[in-house]
Amino acid sequence: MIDINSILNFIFDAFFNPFDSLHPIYGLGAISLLTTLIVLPVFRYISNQEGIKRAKDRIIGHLLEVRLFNDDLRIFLLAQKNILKYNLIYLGYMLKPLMIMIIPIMIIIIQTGARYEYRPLHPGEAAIVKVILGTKGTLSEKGSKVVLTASKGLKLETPSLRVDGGREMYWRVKAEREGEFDLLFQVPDGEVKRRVVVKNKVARLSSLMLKGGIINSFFHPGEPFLPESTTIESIEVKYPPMKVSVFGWNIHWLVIFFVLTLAFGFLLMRPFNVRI
Amino acid sequence: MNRREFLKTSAILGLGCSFLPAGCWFNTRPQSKKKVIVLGIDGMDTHLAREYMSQGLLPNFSRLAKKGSMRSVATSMPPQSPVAWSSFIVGASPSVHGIYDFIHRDPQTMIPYLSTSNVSPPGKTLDLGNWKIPFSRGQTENLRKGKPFWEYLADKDIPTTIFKMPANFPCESKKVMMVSGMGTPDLRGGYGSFTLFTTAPNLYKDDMTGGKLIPVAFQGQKLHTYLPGPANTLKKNSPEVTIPIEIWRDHHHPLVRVVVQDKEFLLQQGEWTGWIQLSFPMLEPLFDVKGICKLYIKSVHPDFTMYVSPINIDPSDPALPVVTSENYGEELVRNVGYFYTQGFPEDTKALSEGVLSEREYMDLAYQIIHERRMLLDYELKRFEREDTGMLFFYFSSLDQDSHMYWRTIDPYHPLYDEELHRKYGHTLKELYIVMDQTLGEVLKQNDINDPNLSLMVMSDHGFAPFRRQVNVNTWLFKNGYLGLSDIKNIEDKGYFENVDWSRTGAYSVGINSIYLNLKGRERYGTVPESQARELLKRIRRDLLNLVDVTTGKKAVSRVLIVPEQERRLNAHAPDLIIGWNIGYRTSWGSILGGFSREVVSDNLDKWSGDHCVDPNLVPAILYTNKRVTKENPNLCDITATILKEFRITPDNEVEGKSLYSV
Repeated sequence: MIDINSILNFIFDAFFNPFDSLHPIYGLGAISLLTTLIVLPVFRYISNQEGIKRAKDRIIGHLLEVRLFNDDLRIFLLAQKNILKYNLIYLGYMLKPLMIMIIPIMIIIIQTGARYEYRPLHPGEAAIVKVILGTKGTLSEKGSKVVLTASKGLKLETPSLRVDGGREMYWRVKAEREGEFDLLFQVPDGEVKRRVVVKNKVARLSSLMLKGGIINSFFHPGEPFLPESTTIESIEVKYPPMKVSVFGWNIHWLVIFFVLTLAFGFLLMRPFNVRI
Repeated sequence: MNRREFLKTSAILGLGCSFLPAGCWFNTRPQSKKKVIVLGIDGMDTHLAREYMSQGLLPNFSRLAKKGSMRSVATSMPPQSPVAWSSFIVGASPSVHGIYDFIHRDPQTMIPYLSTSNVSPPGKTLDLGNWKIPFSRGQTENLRKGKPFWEYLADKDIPTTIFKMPANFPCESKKVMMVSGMGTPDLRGGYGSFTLFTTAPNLYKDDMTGGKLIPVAFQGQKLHTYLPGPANTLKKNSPEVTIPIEIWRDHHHPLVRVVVQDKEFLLQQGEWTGWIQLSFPMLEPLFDVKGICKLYIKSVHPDFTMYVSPINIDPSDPALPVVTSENYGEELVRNVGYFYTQGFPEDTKALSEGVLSEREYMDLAYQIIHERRMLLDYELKRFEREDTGMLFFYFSSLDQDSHMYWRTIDPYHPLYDEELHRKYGHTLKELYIVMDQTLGEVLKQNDINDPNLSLMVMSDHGFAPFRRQVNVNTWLFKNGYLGLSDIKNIEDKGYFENVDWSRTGAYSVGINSIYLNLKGRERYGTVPESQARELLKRIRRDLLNLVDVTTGKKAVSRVLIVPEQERRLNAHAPDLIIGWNIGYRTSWGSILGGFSREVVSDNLDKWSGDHCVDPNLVPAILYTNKRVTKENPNLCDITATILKEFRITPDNEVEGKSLYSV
């Protein structure tokens, strides 16, 4: 999975690279267009286009029936029943392509989210770092001791705050200049490094760093995994959420992505000769 | 011409104008290239400024004075900020703008109110269970009368920005960009109400004013509490809206983690957060009110204490008209960040009540100055892009900090001591230097030799010590002008609760005002109009003879009888205005109708400097880059000068004359 992630990261890094310094709307626009360009032809070939056409025509026909025979209750109700029936048939035709395309779309969303969910720290900005250790029962007093040091470019502003019997630890780290820097966590069973990104542009980030596992690695592609042997269960750098401002409104990137993808879909439906 | 044709024609003509910018009369920007900048520095004192200039500490003020003029300027009577700034705003005396004191009273109900603005809830509501659904919006009203100078400028399409002008809440204008100043409430409806969470409430006064004390207790490492916000007027009895706060404390380090809504902070003892935006739900999930505040961790072990600044109205999503447009508020927040919107940002009450120490208060004071300088820098850059225009920008720091730190430079003040002087005696000097540096930034960005630029730095009044406080109501009682029902417990009663109105000829509300208990005007009036003149003369004479037996000094320097014609124009105008002598002022209790055993007593509040005295003792100051030729300038002349610079002939109500051409 790590290798797949590395490949995906490489591909998406290359794709997003030209947009890193631009307003997020450009990168989101580009990935929405790419998604549309991938989805439309695939959808055309794996969906039953004739069936979709037939179901849509039937729905329109029965809608007209409702309009024309609204004084005849029997026909009116029958038409309503048929509209519902062909809607379900239409959804049935959608199910297969949806099941097939969900994986590439998920990959696109996760990779896009790794860039647009959070933004890197800006120089002078601070973030909270949270570490969760393994369950209390498995930890000795010595085992719960974590020492954090920050590489040049980062400044550790506070000592650790320990709660939950020392299982949760918090620090505040300040970014001093642009770059990618390391936080080094020394635990009795070894050392763990975690990267902190300080930039004034878009970058691939994961707030959480976890131990391996198919699900974790799929959802958190921005950071490598914690070693299985370490007592640390997760390290979280609380990056600021990215605000994508469109005409003065702060809109979540996922909304922009879906709106733009749908818009491109409707625009390119005819050139690609696709029925949705 | 239909709408489509009109738009088409307009677009074509507009396009044509953009190609022919020099000659197109559709671009009706004013021909004048005049630019006027006015820096308003509240409370900048003539005597201190001259002293620091002579020591070479204010090189930028000296440079400006050398290029143009530096003059003492007659302030208003009384020299209170809302009165003085209102005089500047309309270029006329209180008879025109109607503001006579911080506090006025309604003669029909005798209830005191803030003189400059009124915020009232919606009139009619529909009761639905626990909810009150309003049929209309609540009203905010600026009580100042007269035409403000920026309206003349707006009439001529001169780009104008008025930043934090006092006595200008609510600020409403389609053309002028404004942020309201002194008189702007915080989100809880007060004028700066802090919240103090503490595990040691016994360390603070029971009757603390200026904020709320909330006792808290940790359960293990965790504390759960609520931050009180605005009153929910959509609910019956308008309960406070609260938002939960969770705090975790480290066992060993002086360090806490604070979680409020979706924000999380790790703070050490002695650390402040920046501005935090909070959302107070009024009708979930449909309607909320946005506020901003700062947190400060005073102590962690053994006692935990956290100060929360007054919750300011969010300028980017304002619940009340603190900015002229939401877009302008958003623009400022986007480019500079959140900023204090409450009238006076300095938390003087927190210092007086011991909630903030001297060092903590000064930390906050410098944060405020830094924030204001950032905003000024942004406004100057925007102003630079205009061909013509007017920028007014206001600083409150010198005024508020002079109020609080005069005790450190006045050896005769009851709170003065050598140690205090050694530690904080330089505070005011340093603040004057910071103001000089601020002016330096303005001078860097503007050429004071440019004949089209008029740069003025003005204050509204100077400063004087406030050593002894005089309870005017007690003085009126002891001199037979006011009757009391219970003379044994005169200190324990509420607002005028103890007054026998049938035996009362005069009473005092506010800082400089005395009112006759006039028949037909006051609710319980007894004094017939025919006797009013004589009574006023007697009170005036007796006040001028008031001697502080402890010091042997006269407490009153001047008393003004407000002309009858003026009182007819302004029903809330006082009948007498007291001009206190140096070192004296109305007592804290008397301002809101209270009484004390002694007429004169020591002022033991850290609020140790004041200006509500005889205006001749606290003149304002004016620096200009042009030579002032007018004799005895006053605040109204500055207004007239601004208008004259743009060749505007004001209405007859403007009393001032241009400073340069008379």
